[in-house]
Amino acid sequence: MEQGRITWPQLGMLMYLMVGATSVLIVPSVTAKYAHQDLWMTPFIGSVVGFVAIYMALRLYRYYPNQSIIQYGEHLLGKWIGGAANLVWLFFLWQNTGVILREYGEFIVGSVLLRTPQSVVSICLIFVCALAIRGGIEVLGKFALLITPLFLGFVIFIPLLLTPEMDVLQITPVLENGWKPVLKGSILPMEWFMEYVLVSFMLPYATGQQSPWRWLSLPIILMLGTMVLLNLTCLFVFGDLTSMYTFSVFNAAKYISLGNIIEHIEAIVMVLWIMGGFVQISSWYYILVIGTAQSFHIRDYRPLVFPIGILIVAMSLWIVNDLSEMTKLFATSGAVFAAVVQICYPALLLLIAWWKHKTGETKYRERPDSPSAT
Amino acid sequence: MIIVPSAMPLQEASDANMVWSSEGKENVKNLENIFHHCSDIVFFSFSFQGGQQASLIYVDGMVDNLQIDEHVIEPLVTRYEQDSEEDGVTVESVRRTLTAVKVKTHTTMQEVVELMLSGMTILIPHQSDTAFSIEAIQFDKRSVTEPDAESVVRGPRDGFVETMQSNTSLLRRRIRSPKLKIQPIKRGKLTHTTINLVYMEGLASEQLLEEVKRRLDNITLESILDSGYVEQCLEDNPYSPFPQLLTTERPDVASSHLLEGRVVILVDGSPVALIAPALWVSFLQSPEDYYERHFFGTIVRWLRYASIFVALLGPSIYVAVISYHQEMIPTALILTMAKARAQVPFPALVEALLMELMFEALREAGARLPKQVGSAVSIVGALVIGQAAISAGLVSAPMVMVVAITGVASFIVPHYNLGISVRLLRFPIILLSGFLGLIGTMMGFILLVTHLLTLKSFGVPYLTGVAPFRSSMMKDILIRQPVWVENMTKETDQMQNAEQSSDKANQGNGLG
Amino acid sequence: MMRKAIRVPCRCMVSFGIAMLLLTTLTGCWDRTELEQLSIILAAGLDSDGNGGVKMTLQVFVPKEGGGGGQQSGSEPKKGGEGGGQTTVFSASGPTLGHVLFELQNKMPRYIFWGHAEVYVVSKDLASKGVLEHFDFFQRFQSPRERALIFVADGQASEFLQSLPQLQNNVAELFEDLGKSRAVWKISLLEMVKMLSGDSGTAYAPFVEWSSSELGVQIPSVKKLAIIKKDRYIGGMAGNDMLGIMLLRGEKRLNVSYCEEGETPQDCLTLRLRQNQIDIEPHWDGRRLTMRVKVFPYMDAIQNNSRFDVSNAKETHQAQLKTNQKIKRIIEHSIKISQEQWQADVFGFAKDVHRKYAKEWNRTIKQNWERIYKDMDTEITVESLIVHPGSIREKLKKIGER
Repeated sequence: MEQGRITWPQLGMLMYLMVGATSVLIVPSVTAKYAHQDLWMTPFIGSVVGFVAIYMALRLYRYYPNQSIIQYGEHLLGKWIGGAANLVWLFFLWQNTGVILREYGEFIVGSVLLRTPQSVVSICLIFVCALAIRGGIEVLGKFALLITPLFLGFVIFIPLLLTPEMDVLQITPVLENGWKPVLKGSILPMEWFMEYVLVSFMLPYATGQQSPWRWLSLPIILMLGTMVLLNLTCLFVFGDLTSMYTFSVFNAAKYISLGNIIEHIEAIVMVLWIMGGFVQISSWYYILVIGTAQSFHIRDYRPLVFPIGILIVAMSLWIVNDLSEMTKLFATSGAVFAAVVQICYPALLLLIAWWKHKTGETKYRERPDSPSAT
Repeated sequence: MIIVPSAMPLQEASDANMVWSSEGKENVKNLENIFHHCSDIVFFSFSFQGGQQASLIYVDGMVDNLQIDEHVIEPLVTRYEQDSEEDGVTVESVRRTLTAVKVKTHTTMQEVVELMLSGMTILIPHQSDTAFSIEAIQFDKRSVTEPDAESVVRGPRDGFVETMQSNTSLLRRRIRSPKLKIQPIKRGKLTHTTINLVYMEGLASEQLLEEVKRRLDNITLESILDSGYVEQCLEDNPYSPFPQLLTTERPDVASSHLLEGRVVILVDGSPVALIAPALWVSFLQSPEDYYERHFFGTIVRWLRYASIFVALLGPSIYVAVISYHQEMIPTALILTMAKARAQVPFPALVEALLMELMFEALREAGARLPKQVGSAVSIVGALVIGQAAISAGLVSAPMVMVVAITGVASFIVPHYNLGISVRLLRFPIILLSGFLGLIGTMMGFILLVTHLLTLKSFGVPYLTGVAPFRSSMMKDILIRQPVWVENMTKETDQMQNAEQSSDKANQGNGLG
Repeated sequence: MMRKAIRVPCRCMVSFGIAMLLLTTLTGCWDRTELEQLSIILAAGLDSDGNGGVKMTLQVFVPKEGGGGGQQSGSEPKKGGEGGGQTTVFSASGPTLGHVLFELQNKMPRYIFWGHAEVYVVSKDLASKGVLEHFDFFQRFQSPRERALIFVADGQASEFLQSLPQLQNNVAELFEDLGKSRAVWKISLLEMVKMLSGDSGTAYAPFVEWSSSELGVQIPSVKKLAIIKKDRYIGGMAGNDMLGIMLLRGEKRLNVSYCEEGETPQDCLTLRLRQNQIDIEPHWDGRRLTMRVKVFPYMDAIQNNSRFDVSNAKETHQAQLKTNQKIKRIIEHSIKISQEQWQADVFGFAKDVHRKYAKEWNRTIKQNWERIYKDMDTEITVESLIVHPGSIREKLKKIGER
């Protein structure tokens, strides 16, 4: 099905961009709403979920090194239950890819291209992604590794260029209202960190001698750093106004002015961002395509790429009517759905796999290092 | 130059005449038939000392007449001694007489014809079933001069020429090692062009050699007039806008690549050698980087990286910024620009396309025109995309500057063929930028990068070093390491590793 | 042999080509606005229109060569010098800024481009009715910049936008230069909103007035700081009171002059501030608030006619003590005025209290901040340091006497 292989560093960076790019977009302002000046703590709590997700994915990978969660889900739960669960998974992927596409669309249309129809932006983005994922996971991995330094540069340069405007004392008083608001505010970052479980779709294609643990913890730590850094930047620049903005990091970037030359650079910031977003959309899209191919046992995923792309665009236009609904979705049903699919279901699978392994049913498990699988 | 493929392949030309008879006289007659209406073929009959009749056949102008006179005709006419009385001419006695030249014997018509056409002199004694080919080749050739397309300030001044022998000798003179192997292959059904595969044994990987040989064998062209023909047949992705083989006219460049484990393909009649596999970074390296001080080399490399981005994205970013993101321009500048653009009738997108096209046209005109007229073009060009255009109010001054800057930037790319593709690719990106602003630019850039990521040159990923990241290659990409640190063999290992890993990942993605 | 490999990319290329063609030809470019289609706004002025609404005046750049001049749509008489400028002014009024923008767009057919509007001038009248409702437009609408400087104008803001400055190309530049000249005068939209939404709820902004220059031309200049308390302009602080705010807000570009009392003004020591460090420590005992403010100004002497010899360590020390008193008096008076006359915390003390007494702040102080601020005690310590005596060591006056 997929001939390409990616190395562990590539996979790590792919995961970082796949989860991290949008987190930067929305998370600061929403968490600021609850946690106020303590918003920088929320990612720390959220990242625990990330490590749990990675742990589950890697344990399951140990049991089934050549299969994705779709495949061993079916294997573990049987054809019917597993198939149904897979359909739910696919729906989840479809919905989330749509939401992510929508986020970028909203962002572009809401801040830079004010008069361009959103559908046009979405279709363009999806088209570019479709062409990329036809190149397979190898292209995605390499691209991620190329883009991550740029993206990290953007993450570091925004705070750096904003240092003259920062007021470090905005951080005080720490924990003014106790831990409760912080915990409440960390639900949203958790939702992002959960997505690390999606690595189980990519794991079968990873090769190399490096330690998986190290290279999969790295994106979580990087993302933690990114979130903390950008949350702090927003806090230091905007103070309590952080929650006022829709895309607060973008607004912070808008505020950059250095010697009358580096000014109004929001378009460049946006471009770097969308660059990361391209990796994010493509990897979700790729996972959706390959998941569909796996659950319906289709040999070649390439013919699925364009039809599914159209479905994603449709989903992105249907899923919510406006931005406020989207924020609501993150806070309510979306969060529950995501938690069930991304945490509970893999946990269940892990439990069954562990049980089966213990009772000796999966004696002849395949070698983790045999390269050709599908 | 258009090649009309109407003529039939040689073998089928006149089947009746292609038969080799045991009678030498008959063979000469057949040859005369084959080469009727070929006024440049000389049939010269004479008698040996013993009275035996013989014919010398050669192509006029490809043969060293003096050598033939002194070392072939003269000995045969004066000193020829027959071994036995009754038989005709024997091979041994001819060989014994002709001591000063290289002599081979042949007994098929096809061989004889081919050899003669490549400059050998054919001796056919009328009473013998064998033909002798005598190597006394001499024809007009260009002397070894500095290649105009790849000039350097410091470095060797010799360049490949159209003659294969000169080219191979240029390489051999640089690498005096028995490991330097040169394997000839003849391709082209009509032209019978010699293609030499040059490599360093032990440095070039077996896989690579096999792949190159396989692809060379698969060439079914009728004619090969330049290495460009071969290049197009060897490429992994013939639809890619990027060159997948490195070309050079410089023997020093070819040698350095040989020593790094690559394969050089020399085509007879072309001064341009092909180097495979080609990596993106090698297109941005000039031999002078290594001859000058390494600081200079490093800085110039970075200049090139920057300029290739400017050449590719310069006009599109200008279009995007001026028609979508006007806030990005500093206030003082935008006020001047607004003034400059107030008179211009075209939108920035059209203006950019127009000027870029104009620039390309001028460049092409300058390249094709005879040197004497060339200066006229540059004068007209300076007027067309210059002061006159601005004062006529057709284009704005900033646009002219952008076009000029991108033009200069695209010429900084040391390999001309990559410069061409970059210049070509900026047109679609300008269109995209005109459509979605910087987002369009970025989409174009992403499409380009994804294409580059899928691209392979002889199985080696095109962006090796950067995209399958090789930290050890960074010392030749980010900086130009001083020569005394550089370890050639290590780099070769790197290449092979890159190949192997990519081969594993990508089996049978090549041609055929 | 090659055909097999070619087919796939070929189809891909063709589809890409068609897509490109469709994109560029059929759909059009929604957001593309050519530079010549924009009216570039350099500054905006907000006035009240007399019947409860707002009048916005935009200073627009004229891209024509040598353009500008008498193209004003308003009929107000011009202040400042006459002559051809590069800019022109449009204005319209309506109930809200959003509405006004619509009106203005009708008036000037080219697309109003806010990307380079770096100055917003708000008239005193409008400011005293509330500013945040108008700033909401600037913050919400994507194109205006949050970095734009805010000025409060004495009189009509539109008149300020019509004046022709003598040094700069246009008024916007003049205002930007004004903003750059003092850190305290450089109040951006964002900072303004931050101050107003902060704990103290009080903001300040430079207050521009007309002042006549030597040539008899009226030029805009800043002599006061406008105080905006809870969204409304309440008054201004000028002279030494403004200096007090500047000192406490960490302003560095200042001259402080110490003159000995009772003697002629010729006996003055003038110092230039080099560095200014401020340490604010609130103290809350449950009922009363005490602000312990420490100021550490580092200064250079720029003119010395006083009796102190600043090159002499002992006398310098005495001079410093005198300077300390002077600065302390300035700050004390400034705080006092703010407490008694305006009851407005222009110094942002509330944030410091909130930081130190987070619990008490939420429980009691926050609700009664205005009263507590009024009764607040201050303990001010100034420890100035004359770092450099300047290029000459001795006083010229003394040399002359010799």
